Amino acid sequence: MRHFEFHQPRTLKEASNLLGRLGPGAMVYAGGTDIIPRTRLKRLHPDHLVNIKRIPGLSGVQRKGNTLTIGALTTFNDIIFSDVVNSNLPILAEVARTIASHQVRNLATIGGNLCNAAPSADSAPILIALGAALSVCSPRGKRRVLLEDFFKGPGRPNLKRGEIVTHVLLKKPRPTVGCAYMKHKIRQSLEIAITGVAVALDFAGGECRDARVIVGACAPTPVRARQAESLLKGSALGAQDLAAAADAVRKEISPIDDVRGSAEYRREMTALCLKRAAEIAVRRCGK
Amino acid sequence: MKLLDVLREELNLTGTKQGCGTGDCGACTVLMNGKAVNSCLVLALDAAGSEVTTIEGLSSKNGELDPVQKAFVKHGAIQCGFCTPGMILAAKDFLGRIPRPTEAEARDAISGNLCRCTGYAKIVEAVVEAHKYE
Ligand SMILES: Cc1cc2nc3c(=O)[nH]c(=O)nc-3n(C[C@H](O)[C@H](O)[C@H](O)COP(=O)(O)OP(=O)(O)OC[C@H]3O[C@@H](n4cnc5c(N)ncnc54)[C@H](O)[C@@H]3O)c2cc1C
Ligand code: FES
Ligand code: FES
Repeated sequence: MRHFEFHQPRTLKEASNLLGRLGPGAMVYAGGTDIIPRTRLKRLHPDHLVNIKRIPGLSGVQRKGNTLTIGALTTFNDIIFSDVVNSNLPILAEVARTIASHQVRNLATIGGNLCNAAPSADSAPILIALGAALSVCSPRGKRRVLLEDFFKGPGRPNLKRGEIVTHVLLKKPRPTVGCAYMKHKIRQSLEIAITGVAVALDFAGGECRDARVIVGACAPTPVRARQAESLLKGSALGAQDLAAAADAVRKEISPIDDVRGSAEYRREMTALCLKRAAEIAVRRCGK
Repeated sequence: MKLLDVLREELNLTGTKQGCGTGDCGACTVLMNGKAVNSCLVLALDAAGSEVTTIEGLSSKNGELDPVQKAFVKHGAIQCGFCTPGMILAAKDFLGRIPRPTEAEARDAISGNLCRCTGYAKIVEAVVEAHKYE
């Protein structure tokens, strides 16, 4: 393995100052489940790893009123076994269960999943659908960024040098909102999404008041399928409405051919996943 | 250096196996502060200060096997044995959270572990029944 220096700051300020000072060869190190295999496979060449796990206050899920705060260091198993998640936003646990394996989920953090900015990152579509924002800290202070605006390209999060994501913030959806995530994969676990569709529908009185459709693994970043959304919005979410949205989503993504599937296959599966996710989401509205 | 390398090469604790080295096979699973993790994904430096349990340390001081180990022996959930330490430690963590898993949950418990001998049926049986050996 490549030689690098390992830093273990105790405060956020210390960590972001370090990152600023050490320059472009330095990286934040959280669970390491993206960094370690990629370093081993020589796709990544860090000179400095800045471990943020010794900094207190960056882990766990809290609820205050209608706001849920998820620390960047919260692991996917923390989410799966969190009472706050299971009683307020069980969809997050459901999505977490589609990720990697039990052991990897004990290490992999939600902050790492987002900051790695893989097009296939499974936590991104549902969090965008729920309107999540990130709290970001740097030597210059704090800022907030909508997750929808966070991805600039594969491996390129909207972060400047020295910036550290500290929390994911989201509102508990209204009871009339139903969500679902459909990850298409061949194996049951340890599988990267061929396509992943998150749907959030606000449905009451026989009419869809709001709709969010986000597709992962089918473009350089997660894609918000606005046309599909507008076809669902205002409709009764009948079979024909879902079919129309599924048809639209094909043109809103720009998938590539790779070992996991051809572009054409991805378009077809995305349309199907959208339909299935919407069917599940509708059933969950008002529950 | 990875935790896995320290365990095997420095401490000669070779019960922990290396398969893939990239988090995919689960052969290197150990417990870190009671949670199953892939020791090939953990930097040794990062494990400093944590309690690490390998398969060598799972039985009690007087040598009595852990209930999960007993279940694996009783159910013949072992063929060549290469995947066994990882399977047992993954199951150990999972059973601490869900002591009486359904078959589907037991499959989830070992979803990060490959058995090249494909002996999954017996392993799942052992995980489902492990609580009876407490
Ligand atoms: C076997 C295996 C299976 C996997 N399966 C899946 C899967 O099914 N779905 C999926 O989405 N992913 C999967 N992954 C990828 C990975 O586990 C996740 O992306 C994980 O959430 C990354 O988190 P981490 O804490 O390990 O990140 P790290 O490896 O520590 O970091 C990842 C990147 O994010 C940056 N970073 C981390 N935290 C912060 C922060 N707080 N602020 C700023 N930058 C930060 C790091 O600098 C680095 O660039 C898998 C990985 C493995 C090894
Ligand atoms: S050697 Fe660690 S998961 Fe395969
Ligand atoms: S018993 Fe041989 S690999 Fe599982």
